[in-house]
Amino acid sequence: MRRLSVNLATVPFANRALPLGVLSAVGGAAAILMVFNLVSFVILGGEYRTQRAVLKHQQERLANLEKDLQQKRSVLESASAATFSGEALFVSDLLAKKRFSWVQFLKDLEKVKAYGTAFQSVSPQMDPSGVIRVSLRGQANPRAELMKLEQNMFADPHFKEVQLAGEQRDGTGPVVTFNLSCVYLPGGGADAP
Amino acid sequence: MRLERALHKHFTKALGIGAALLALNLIVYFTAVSRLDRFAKTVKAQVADNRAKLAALEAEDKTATAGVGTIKNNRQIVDDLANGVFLTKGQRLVEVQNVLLGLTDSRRLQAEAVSYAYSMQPDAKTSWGRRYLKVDVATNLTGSYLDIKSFMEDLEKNPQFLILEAFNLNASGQGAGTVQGSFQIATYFVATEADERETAGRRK
Repeated sequence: MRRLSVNLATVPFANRALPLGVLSAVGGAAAILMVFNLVSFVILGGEYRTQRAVLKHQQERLANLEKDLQQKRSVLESASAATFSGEALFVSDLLAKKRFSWVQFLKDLEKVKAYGTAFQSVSPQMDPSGVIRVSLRGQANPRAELMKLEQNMFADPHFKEVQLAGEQRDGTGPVVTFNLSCVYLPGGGADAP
Repeated sequence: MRLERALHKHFTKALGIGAALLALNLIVYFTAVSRLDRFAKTVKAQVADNRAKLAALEAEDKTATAGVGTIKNNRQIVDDLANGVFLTKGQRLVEVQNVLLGLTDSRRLQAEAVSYAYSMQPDAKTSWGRRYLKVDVATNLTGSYLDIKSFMEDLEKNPQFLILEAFNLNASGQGAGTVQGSFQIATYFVATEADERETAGRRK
């Protein structure tokens, strides 16, 4: 049997679906890719330019900051700063001492003093840590006034660790001589020297 | 019909142009667009990286600025105090003595004895920009409690930078209401070389 090839079309290439499909596919792909390339180029290019500008600005800022910081670090780490901080601390300590008022201490003591008591000796001592220990010697007439003094000191926030060290009646009279110690808190403990 | 003829005639050429265009776009994509994408991503990562670095540096700079500012302010305060308040012994000691005398005399307080002690601050091992001469004045005063308290009040308020460091009050045997007080008063001067020599000599 022989195979017969017959073209029934009146014009050649009558079966156009395949070549048109191929052409459309290739052309379409080329067009889509071109549009994609163009859009990508515009978007990415814009973003790239923006980021480059930001990067440039950042690099300048970084360089300036580094330079600035270097200077500040050298100031902070310099020997003069270290020695000066010692001097500043010393002066600030002096100013704190200057601010502290012993007169205020006497005024606070007057507030807690009971009417029938009289102090014969007031000896405040500030230890190196800044705690002020006070020794009081006095007389109370009658003894109840000493209790009142003690009670007043317990109730006042400027005084703590109130301790009656001793009391002694003078002869047969109502007068009692006492020794008392306490810790004084300037400003009720809020602003110690 | 015309299309079919044209198609038949130019199919190969059109296919070639299409394929060439496709190839060109692929080349553009791989050589330009994808590289641009990579560059943009790299730059973006660098920007993010720098942002973190900047934040850290700015925080450090803020702390350092505050530190430097504090040092500057403190130096100003210390210099002002040294040059305007403490001064040198030669510039101020007599004035201090006169103030103390005035405070006691104006209240008719009896001063039994006044003693002076001199010491350098800090010790020789510490190196500050300047050293200070501390003058301790010890005195015993007798008078009424109110006068003694008023003396202490004026002493504390006096612009001569007098520090009442310690005191004791005792009932005096001179009569009711009379108090005897012992006072430790300190003041500071900017030490001169002469002060350093004097205190060193006194120590020997």
